[in-house]
Amino acid sequence: MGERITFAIAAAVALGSAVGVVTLKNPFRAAVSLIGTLLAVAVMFLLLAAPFVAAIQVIVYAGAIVVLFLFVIAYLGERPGRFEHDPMARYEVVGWIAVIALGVQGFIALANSRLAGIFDDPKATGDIGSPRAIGEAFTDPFVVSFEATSLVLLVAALGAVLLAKRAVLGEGGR
Amino acid sequence: MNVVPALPLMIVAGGACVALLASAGPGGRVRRDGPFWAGAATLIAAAVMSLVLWGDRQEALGGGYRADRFSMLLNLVFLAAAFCALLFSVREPAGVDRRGEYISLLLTSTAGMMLVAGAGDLIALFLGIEILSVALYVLCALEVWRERSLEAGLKYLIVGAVGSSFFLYGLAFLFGASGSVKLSVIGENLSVASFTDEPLLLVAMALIVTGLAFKASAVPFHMWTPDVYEGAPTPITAFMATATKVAALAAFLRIFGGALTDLVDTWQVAIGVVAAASVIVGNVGALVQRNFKRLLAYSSIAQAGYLLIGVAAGTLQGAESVLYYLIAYTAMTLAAFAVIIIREREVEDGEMVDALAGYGRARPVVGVVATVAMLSLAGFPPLSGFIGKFLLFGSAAEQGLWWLAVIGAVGSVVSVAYYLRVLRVMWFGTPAHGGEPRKLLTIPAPVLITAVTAAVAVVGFGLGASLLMDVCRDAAAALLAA
Repeated sequence: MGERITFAIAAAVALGSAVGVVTLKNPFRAAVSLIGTLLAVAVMFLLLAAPFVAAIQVIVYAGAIVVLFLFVIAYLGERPGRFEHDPMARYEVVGWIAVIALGVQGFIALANSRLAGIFDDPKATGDIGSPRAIGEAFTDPFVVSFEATSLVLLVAALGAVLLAKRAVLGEGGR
Repeated sequence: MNVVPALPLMIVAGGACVALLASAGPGGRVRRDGPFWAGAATLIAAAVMSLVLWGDRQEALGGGYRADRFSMLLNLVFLAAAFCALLFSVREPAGVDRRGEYISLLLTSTAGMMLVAGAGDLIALFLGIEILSVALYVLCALEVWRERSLEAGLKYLIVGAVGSSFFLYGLAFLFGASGSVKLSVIGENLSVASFTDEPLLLVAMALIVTGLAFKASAVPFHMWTPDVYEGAPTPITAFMATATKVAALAAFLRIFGGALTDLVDTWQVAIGVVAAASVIVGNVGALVQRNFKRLLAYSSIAQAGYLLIGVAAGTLQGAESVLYYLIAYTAMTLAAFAVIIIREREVEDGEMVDALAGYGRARPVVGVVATVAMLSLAGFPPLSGFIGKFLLFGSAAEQGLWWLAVIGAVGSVVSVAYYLRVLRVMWFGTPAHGGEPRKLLTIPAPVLITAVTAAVAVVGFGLGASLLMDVCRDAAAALLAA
């Protein structure tokens, strides 16, 4: 029972903060709101008996990555939050309808599911959260995904540098 | 740990890094020509390696990548499309002052596609789609000084991110319902228990179809296609229109034709409806286009529809015809884009259909290439486009999907109108100011050779159809191999 209550609170915080990330006008506040989501997810990892992942989640995501976001926002400085006449503003309602529809659909699917494991009490699955288990997962069954992720990051970094440099050149800078 | 089956993928990923380093290498010559030669050598080496690995399934690196006839055949298609894009890019403005980055991104995108075709689990599949997309977002926006190019990159980024998130959401549901991320285990788990009407699985399939339809530019998730195809540098558009579509269809076949094949009754109608809508919207939209790039964009939406008809059939025959048509489609689309690439470097408005007025008479070789490509896209026998469509519609009809076959056939008849309009302008049109078509420059030899090779391939795949069909049949059979 205690687990369910903890999960419900963590899930509510995660969802609430996530809504904050996309709705807050000030990018600085949005980034800080992201910390709420990341911390709540860390609590869920604790519930899954994966304390190591929870710690990494806090240190790397809530710590390093959000700080990086804040640095970027600080570098770019205050930007106008919204156009005078944002042509996309009238579609905002449609966006929210789509979001709510997706949520309702997910809820109905979960509520009507007949899969064992959704309504039963959770069972232990063995060691999934220890540093050893994670290290083994990265080097044996998921080594392809692990390496492919580095390729995603490489190409994203390359693209960011390339486009930013070109944009500066385009504006007549060096 | 078995590394060898993943070698083609690793060669391309490594080659991307070499091309990038070559552009920072010592000496002006290395910096100027190094990336191109590194890229060309990489693609050839990976193609040779794929041919060497042709055979029964081998699992690489703990099962995350699977080398079988399906992934190796598609590897060859990706590598050929990338090679053509590389040759098209000779003297392309977007790639001139940043050769290393340009070629590196092209190769990385190819590596992502190869990962999609050979992914052993859902995570690798998703990452493959992300790698190919992220590289293409950047390539689309590479002509920063042109507002349309920037717009294309941004549009593709936003729409692509939405598509990816739908896809990922669907994969999470699929993992929840089947209890595994491994494609082979998912298939096994689902074939043992009865999962018909399990809501989690229905949601999973709906979301995965949505996500992949974004990537394959199928209706109703096609809105971005004309703008992005028009705005991106044309060699990149050619690469995007061919290789990305092949990768998206590969993911469709891997998930629906391979892992979820037992649930065919559930997903058949959904994919069928998407296919029919794509055929209708694509062909009707193309009728009114005056811009050749936009016309080909709408045509590619319709072609995605034809291909999905084969996926909807859900049989071995369907998968086999999809593979055959993918190969034919790649060749004829590359040939069509070659014509735009040649013309747009000569005149300002070279991507308009009207700019081609009388061009066939002035440049008979380019005219013949365009003619072969257009006739094949429209589905005239004996070209490979006709054979591919015939097989696709046949496989649907065999499964009782007569309505799909009829819609596909009617769509191809409509498509004749706009494909032939291009040819009419090209051979019989008179340039706006009369006389000769304006400004003819020397075509770079690599571009012309690639264009002619693609056109020859369109004819060759038609004449050697039975040989190619045997290869495709083996590749399709690998989908279902345990």
